[in-house]
Amino acid sequence: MKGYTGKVLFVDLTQRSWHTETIPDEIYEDYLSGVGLGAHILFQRIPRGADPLGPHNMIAFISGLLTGTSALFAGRWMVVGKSPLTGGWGDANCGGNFGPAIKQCGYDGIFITGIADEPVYLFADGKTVEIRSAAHLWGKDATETEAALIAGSGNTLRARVACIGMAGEKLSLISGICNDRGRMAARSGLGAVMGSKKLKAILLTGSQPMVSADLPEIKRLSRECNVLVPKGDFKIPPWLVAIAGWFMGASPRAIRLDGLSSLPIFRKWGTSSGMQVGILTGDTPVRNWSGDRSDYPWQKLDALTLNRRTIKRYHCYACPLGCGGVMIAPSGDGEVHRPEYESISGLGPMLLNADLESIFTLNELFNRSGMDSISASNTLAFAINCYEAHLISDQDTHGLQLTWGNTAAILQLARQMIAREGFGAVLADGVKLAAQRIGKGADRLAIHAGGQELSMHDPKYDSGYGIHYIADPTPGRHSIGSNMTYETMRLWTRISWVPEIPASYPGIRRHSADAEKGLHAAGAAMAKMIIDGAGLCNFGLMMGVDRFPMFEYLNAATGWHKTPDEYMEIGRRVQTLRQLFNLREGVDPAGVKLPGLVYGDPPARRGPHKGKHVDIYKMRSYTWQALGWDGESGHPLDATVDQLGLAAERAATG
Amino acid sequence: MKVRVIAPFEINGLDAAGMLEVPAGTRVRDIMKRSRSIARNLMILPVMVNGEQVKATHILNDGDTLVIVFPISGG
Repeated sequence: MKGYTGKVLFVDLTQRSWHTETIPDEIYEDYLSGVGLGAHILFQRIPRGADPLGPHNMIAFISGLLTGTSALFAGRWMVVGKSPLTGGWGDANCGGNFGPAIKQCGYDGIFITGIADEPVYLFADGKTVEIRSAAHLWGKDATETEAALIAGSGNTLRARVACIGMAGEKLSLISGICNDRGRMAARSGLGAVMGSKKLKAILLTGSQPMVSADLPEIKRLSRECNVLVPKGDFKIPPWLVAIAGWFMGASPRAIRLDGLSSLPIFRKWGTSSGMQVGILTGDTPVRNWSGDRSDYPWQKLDALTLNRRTIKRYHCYACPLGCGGVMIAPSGDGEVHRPEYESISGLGPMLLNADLESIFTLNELFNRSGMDSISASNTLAFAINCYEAHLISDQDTHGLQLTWGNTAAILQLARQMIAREGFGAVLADGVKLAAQRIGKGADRLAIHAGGQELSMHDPKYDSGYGIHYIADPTPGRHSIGSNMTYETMRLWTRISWVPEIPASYPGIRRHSADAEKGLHAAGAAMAKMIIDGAGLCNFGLMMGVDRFPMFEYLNAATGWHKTPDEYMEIGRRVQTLRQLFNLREGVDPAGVKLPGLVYGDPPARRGPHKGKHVDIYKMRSYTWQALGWDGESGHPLDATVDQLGLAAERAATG
Repeated sequence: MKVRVIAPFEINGLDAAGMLEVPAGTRVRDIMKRSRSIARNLMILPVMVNGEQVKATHILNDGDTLVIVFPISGG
């Protein structure tokens, strides 16, 4: 065995049939598992021009190659499909505990087509596969659905569930797929694909062992790596975090970031610890991307206050860090997930909402309904901005006064978006469609890239985010890469061709648009394809590839002897295949743009980004070139495609 | 002896691999004092050695990994 099972399950909901197929070893050598395996299979099996919400779209749930091998940080699972939000390639991934459950049923992935004639859920236990009625679950939220399925599974110890909430049922194009009581594979709108198939959930209860080529070596690598993972509790006054934020924002010299310095804080307070740093440095967008820290009482979002309801740490599968938190919900929902940085930013500063309890409540509302809190909060901010600009009236909103920070109105509108009712029906599919429905030039306030709302990181602070917002086949996402992730991954310690970042450098260099920046971004994107093929967590990679043995893990699991450079070529292949999928589906990569205020055109007149302009399109051009693509069009070059063995896929785009 | 130092600012004497040659008996605060310029103001930052928080007076051993904790924005 080589870490992967070599087998995938195909299910046709229209025919109510299923079969398994064996995947040749060469496919794993070319694409790994996870997102790469998904891209390979979906490119072949989704017909060109398929309606994302029609029967021919395929949605797949895929484990990582390293999941279940005893590798640390290897618990993430991937969802892939044609995105109804962008019209192109869609993928999202999630922690929790669903990833190993796929492999414990004997599959690397579960690929689903067709549309059921009634709400159903899929059951698999490694021996049988059943398509069962979900009539009793339709209308329930994700947490209720998961609880009901596990309770009725007859195997509460092993049962694992991925499911949609009401947002996916209502085909919201900003809906995601949940596991473990609200953790969500949120991006790309794949919850709507599941909803369109009337597939409420997948219930897995398998118990097959997962076997690697060299388990002792994997365990040795894990022991060695684990020494560097922070343990126990540690003390740090929250005001020190704010001071660090000021320091980082004010210093003319940038210090190369090292993830090992930050993981202890993630362990203590989770990603919420970065709120004040984010606002003070200008990383966190404020007021629908048009404001700055002077507009928002950032002092309220100190880590201690954000954690006042936290009662214990939460670990995803195979995670030694435990950056998640369990808290007591103010809404009376009992124990729920502590909101992450992205959600707090979107539901707080973006809306000028300083009511912390409402941020907690909104976060849980979106987790339960399966609506992407990044896209949803951008959309709420867009609506308030439209109201302020008199593009919509009280009549349009059915009396809701959508003013900044109006907590009651925000809560009501969020519920309407989930239920697709009232003015929420206008907003339920994200900002791009909402702007089209409103008209009157509302698109100038709609902040998105290629149809997907942006994550909570301002390219004027970290231009790397901006590059990936518009350069990646799944636009608008923060998890593909950034200057921060490039610095912390330390790829130059293992990869021959990526440039090293000096220990300190003039801060202005963060925004230089040159060939070196292109290599950074291309390297980060290619590494991300390895991460998502292996099922790893970005936070594990924050330790750096010289300390976190990603490449060694893969060799030990599979028995391969690939070099880091060879793995990066796999990353390039997966990234290029995702781009070819978009080209085949008619997505124009060069047509993916950012609104000017996101990259400083014109430059801001106040705040931490005063006078700053980021040459984001030049950076994208260099990034595409570094990937072996045309710098202007984003089309992979013939030589690149041939070298990667993707000639047949290129031919399919013609 | 050699220790590995991971710091959010420059440390004098650190080699390319992030290792620092120090005499036996070196304390954490001795390392912090090797920082340059404005970063000296951050000497109040928490320090971890081999994954456990320690005080500035903690004496380092050969092969220790010293991490100076520093927050970032992210998620």
